[in-house]
Amino acid sequence: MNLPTVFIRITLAVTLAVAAVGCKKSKPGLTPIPGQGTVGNGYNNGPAGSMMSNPSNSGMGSGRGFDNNNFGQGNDFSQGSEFGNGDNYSLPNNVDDFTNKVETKLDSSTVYFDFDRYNVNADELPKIVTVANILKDKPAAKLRIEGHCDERGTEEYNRTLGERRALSVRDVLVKEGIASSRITTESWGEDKPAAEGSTESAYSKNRRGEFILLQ
Amino acid sequence: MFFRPNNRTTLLTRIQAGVVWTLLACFVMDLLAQQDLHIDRSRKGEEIPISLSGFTSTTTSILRYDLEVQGFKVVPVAEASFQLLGSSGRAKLEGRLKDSGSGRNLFFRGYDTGDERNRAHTLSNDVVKAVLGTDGIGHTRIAFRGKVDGHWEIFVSDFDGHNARMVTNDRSNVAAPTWIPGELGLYYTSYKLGSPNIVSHDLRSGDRARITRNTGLNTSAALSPDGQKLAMILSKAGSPDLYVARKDGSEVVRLTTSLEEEACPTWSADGRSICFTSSARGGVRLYTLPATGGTARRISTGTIGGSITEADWSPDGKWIAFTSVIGGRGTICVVESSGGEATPLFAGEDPCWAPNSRNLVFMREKNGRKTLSLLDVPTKHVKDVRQTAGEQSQPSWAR
Repeated sequence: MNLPTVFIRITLAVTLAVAAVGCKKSKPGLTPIPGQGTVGNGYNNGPAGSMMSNPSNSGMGSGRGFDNNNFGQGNDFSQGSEFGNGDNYSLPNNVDDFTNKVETKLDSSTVYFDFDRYNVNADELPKIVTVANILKDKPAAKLRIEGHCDERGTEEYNRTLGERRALSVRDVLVKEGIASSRITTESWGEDKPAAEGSTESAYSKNRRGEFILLQ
Repeated sequence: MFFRPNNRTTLLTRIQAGVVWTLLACFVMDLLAQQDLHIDRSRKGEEIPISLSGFTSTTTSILRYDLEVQGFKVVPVAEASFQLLGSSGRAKLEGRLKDSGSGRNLFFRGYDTGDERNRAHTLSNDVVKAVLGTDGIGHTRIAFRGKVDGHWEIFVSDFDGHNARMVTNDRSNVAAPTWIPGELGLYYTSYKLGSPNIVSHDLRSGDRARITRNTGLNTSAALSPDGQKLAMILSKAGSPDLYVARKDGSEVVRLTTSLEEEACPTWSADGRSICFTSSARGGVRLYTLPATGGTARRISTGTIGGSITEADWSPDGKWIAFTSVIGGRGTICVVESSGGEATPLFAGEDPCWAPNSRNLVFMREKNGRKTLSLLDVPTKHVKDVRQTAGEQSQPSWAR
């Protein structure tokens, strides 16, 4: 028996067999659509949206949606413990202290900022002192400071910049003797411009901190 | 007798198997070498010429969009390296991909499931897989915020903007939507109940839960690739800092303590590091930090300066996309995740990687309105995402 011939024959046969099996898969015709159920992100490829429900249609207004019993785990960080320099102050713990109040915007006290800056300019300080005096006259009142930016800069960066501006104003109030527990901050980034338009005039009106008295 | 275990047949079987494997390997390597060539050229930004014929106009436009945004260019048959041929058979859509060089059919398949868009996306995925060896983006989704009647709401759509759904109707304000990895769910910032706080939203049931409940700022949620950890920006200690927590918001740990602002966290592919923006050491720059805390390390962007924000780490871990803002103008850039000379790509803001680590979705202003577009990083090709709301921003690609 000629061994090499046998090897070649068998090898050829097996190769052809394997190839044939392989070809079967790519043979023209209909095969199952690949990727079903494995594409993307773990959901099926069916019509988009069919699996998505819109809370506005599923009763957001009638009690569905935010589950108020399902939170409360975010506050266990011991606040302020890492600060030794006294240069800033933790925010109040309780969100509810600042909701469901009568809101009065203190329009004439709005503080304006330089581009991409959060430090309070010296000539803006008297406005904050005026607000401090109002709070001293109304010991039960609380205050929300809203921080805003112009449209330059990216949206999430502006959201933190707006917060930093509100916090700077708050620090001035605390130094004026107002308890930090009476003040909350709320950044809107570039989402709530006071003036529309892409001009320096509009920008300078939009880089601001606004005071909302809560009673 | 053939399989009787004696020395001769064992030897025979072994040699046989060896030869078969060698031949098979040669065949496979030949295929792979051709594929490698295309993959290599494509990575370097060379378009892959492909022709489309025999499809309906709707299917053709979907295939063109899908393929051109992933590095192909639709050309006449004579110039095509690949030919995608449609035919009318028993299936609602049939596609045959032919390699022009060898004349070989790479596949011939029928598509019956879903609507016309769905079938065309599946076919485009098969073309991408056959030519580039990667998973196509045809069935992926994005989330974004859209402005409706003066309020921002959360939207979810196909990656190309079709089948958009408004999934909130709060008439308040929302920001920074991000997908829960591998799930049909989002985290985002909601202003609905007072100060901005992070909420989770199950898109199947519509159920929402508050993840944070603090005064001040609670925003920029980013879930770790395994979906277990949450990075976010909180200001509760008196300045906007980077925090991590479990996905339900418990066990909050503060990672930065600077008086300056930190912003825009994003996770490394292995979940060990977080990249974020900080102005703590001068300028608005990128840093990385171990997710368990430690010293922040600057990520160099080379000669690309300005305010460096909105980093997004690619799912394969190799790249960080970000926005550089100079004089109010944003540019989408990418840099190797270890830092280096960044590559400016296109005018826009807020890039977010597709699961393929090749495409980005980003926001740019057209005629004073915020719109979303897709970018193919190697070829720098841009396609507009179908616009649903008057303005759209802060896109997040499900992955």
